[in-house]
Amino acid sequence: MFTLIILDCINKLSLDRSISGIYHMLTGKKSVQSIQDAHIFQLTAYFGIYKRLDFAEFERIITVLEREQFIAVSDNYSAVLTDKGKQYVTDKQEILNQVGLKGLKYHRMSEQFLLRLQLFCQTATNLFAGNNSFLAITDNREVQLWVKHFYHETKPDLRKCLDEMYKELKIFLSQIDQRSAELFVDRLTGFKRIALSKEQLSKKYKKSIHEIEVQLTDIVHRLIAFILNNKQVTPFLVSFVDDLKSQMFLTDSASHTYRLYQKGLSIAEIASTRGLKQNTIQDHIIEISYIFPELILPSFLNKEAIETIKSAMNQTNSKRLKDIKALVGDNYSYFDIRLVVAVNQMDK
Amino acid sequence: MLEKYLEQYFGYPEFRPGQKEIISNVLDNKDVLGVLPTGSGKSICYQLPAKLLDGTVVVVSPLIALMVDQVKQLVATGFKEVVAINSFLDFEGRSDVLSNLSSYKLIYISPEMLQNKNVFQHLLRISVSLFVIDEAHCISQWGHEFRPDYLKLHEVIPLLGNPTVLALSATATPDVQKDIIHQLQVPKMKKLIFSMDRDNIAFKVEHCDDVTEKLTYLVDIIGKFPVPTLIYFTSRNWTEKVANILSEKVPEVSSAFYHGGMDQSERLLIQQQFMNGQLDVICCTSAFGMGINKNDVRLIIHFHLPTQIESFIQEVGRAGRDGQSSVSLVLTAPNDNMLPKNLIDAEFPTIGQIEMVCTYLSENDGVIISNDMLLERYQLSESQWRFLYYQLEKSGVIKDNRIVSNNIDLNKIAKQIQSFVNQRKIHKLNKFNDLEKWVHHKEQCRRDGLFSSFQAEVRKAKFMCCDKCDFTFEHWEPRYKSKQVKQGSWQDVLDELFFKGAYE
Repeated sequence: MFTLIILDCINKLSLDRSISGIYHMLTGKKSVQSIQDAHIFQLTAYFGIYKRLDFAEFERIITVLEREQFIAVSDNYSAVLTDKGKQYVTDKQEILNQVGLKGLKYHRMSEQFLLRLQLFCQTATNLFAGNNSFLAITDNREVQLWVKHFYHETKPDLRKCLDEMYKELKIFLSQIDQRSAELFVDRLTGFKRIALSKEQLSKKYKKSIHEIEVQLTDIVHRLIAFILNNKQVTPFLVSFVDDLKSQMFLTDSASHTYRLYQKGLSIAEIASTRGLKQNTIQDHIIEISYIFPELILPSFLNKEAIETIKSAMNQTNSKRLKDIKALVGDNYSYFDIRLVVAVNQMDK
Repeated sequence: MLEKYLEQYFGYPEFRPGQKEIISNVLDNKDVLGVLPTGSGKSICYQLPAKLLDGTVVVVSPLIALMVDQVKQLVATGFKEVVAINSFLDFEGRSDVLSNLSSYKLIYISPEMLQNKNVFQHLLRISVSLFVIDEAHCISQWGHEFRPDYLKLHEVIPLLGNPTVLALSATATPDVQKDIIHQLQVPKMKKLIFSMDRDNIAFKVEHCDDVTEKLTYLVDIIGKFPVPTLIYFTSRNWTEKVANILSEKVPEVSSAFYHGGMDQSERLLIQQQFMNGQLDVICCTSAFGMGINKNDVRLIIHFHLPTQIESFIQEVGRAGRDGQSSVSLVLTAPNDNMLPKNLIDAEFPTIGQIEMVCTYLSENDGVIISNDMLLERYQLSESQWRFLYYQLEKSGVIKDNRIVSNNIDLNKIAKQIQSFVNQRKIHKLNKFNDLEKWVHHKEQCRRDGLFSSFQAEVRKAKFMCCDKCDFTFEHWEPRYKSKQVKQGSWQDVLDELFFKGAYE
């Protein structure tokens, strides 16, 4: 699945972006540029799905793909699929269609959600079995505090809570493929049963560690989506996600900017209030405009400007900002163009 | 009486040899040097007093990973007023901890942090009832792990209002013991030395022609004795390689690797699987084992030797803590000694590094030292830099973390440091040679050879003794119970986790 995702990225980006751009997107780094790319090239599903991916390791994978002639890498470190690569992606389209990843939506909450679930499972089952001496599977303080608090709420009727959790997990796991369900339970630690490490999973299922990472993320994203779409079926598990939803969309810094913007401050004023560069604030505005397009755009550009840039976009049929800029000339800034591009993507 | 508290706070029904004597002396305000063998529960000697004494117990420990582990385990057992202050703690966490320092009964601290002025100011404000120096042999240049920053500990004790002092070590020869008391400047210290030898561990050395033969022998032994086993290597690569070989050749035994390069939470899973009996064999570097509470490890194999007898004894001491028959096996091959020699070399800065740092110092009089910059620029490891820093401080070129190089002949200082490096290397090589001699000795009993420099009399073996006396694998019948975790469908696993169905 992981190789396939990389090939899918290369296919959609082709020569418009460097390969490093894919890395930034998968790891969710360099936020705004990557978020924008994810939208433009319809790769939002993959955004931030593999935060631990190491750059050297990513480069190694690219080299292998090139050597196996799935892709051709050009001098400026961008790449296209070869015929072999295209054939491969076409053959495996079925798998891509089944991918449940919703990176842009869930990447900021999925790790925390999963840790909560795993730590609660470990805590509740051990305490239920009368063992109060166990080492927590995570050091994450926020997660520990949350579980502690949540446990105190559930303590009066622990057996019922365990039953609820069991029932809801079982409903979810029954409607995904066997392999994924197995992978998911292998990562749960309970009483006298310690989860398998990723390394061990990689051996057990004869898949690369990257494959395991991405598959686990895929399952977690499915689970989150399942919970949020079926709240009446999963009343217990909803508590694990509910308060994380606010983290779904904006980075902390961008939401700070958004609050100031709502108070009526201009970009320059926000920049000086926050002691940040105007460029950074502009990035935030772009990030926000993906979420609230109808809100932002009109306050920066009039109808005429929007139309001009839009028609330039259609005319070039290119996704490069440079080409659009060449057409509209100096009347409009890159920021203006990025705004229109952002909103336009959302229309589709 | 003390037993009651031991049971109440830690759940142990009785003390191990040495613990009670040390604890009652400490509670009696007597300064103590305690030498207890590995695996005898040294930490109880200050953890129990921490529960019983008014005020706070401060433990200086150089092993940050061990510190973190112990804090975690204490918290897990319900001892919550405990904290570790070390470089792992971020700025926010640290100021949180420091502002609530008096709420802790037990504070672990690294020697570096003890030198931090801000941290120390906070320590001065609380009442310290017991000051513990863990791994006290680090204070001695003749011990196997000299830590220059330990030499400053004697200044700290009076500043803290002369609390009771407890120095602990698992590996201190009589010379090192004397040195500890001398360096700490606590003359009335009472020595409580307990025997290092473990009478339930048998020793065997197998000389192989090459690595392939080592592997064949290893695979054979693991196949015959699927007991809880630790296999020690000096490199991370080897742990992975051999773990893979074992999984392939002896699939009925579950093996995994463990080393410092792994992700922290993944490492924890492996460690817990081993404790839980889900894993039989762990291929590891010396990073594994500290703070592991597993009583039924039956076999310790050294695929590579460490660099000195003390480390060897420490690693072997992880076997058979329940007193049952256990075995230490060493595998050797010609040219095996290259690796430890390289390790010893790598501990110290090279001539080139010493000269370059001295040149830098001579050109930057008055500048504040930036550790990160120097590590990066001269490609120094932490231990190399710690060594160099101490030497430079001793010769007065660094004062209060600032360079004082005006009118100082740095060429001369570079030469002095260089000759000291050579001395230290020779000392370390001699220590390694001692271990080699033991390995290759023709007739001496292995237990005598290993322990006689630490204690006057070596006890008789409880089971078999060693390959020079009576030990053979054919006659070994280790007691163990394997409890493999069932691997079923996901439904089975889920049922088991949540106590359902057949598991109810």
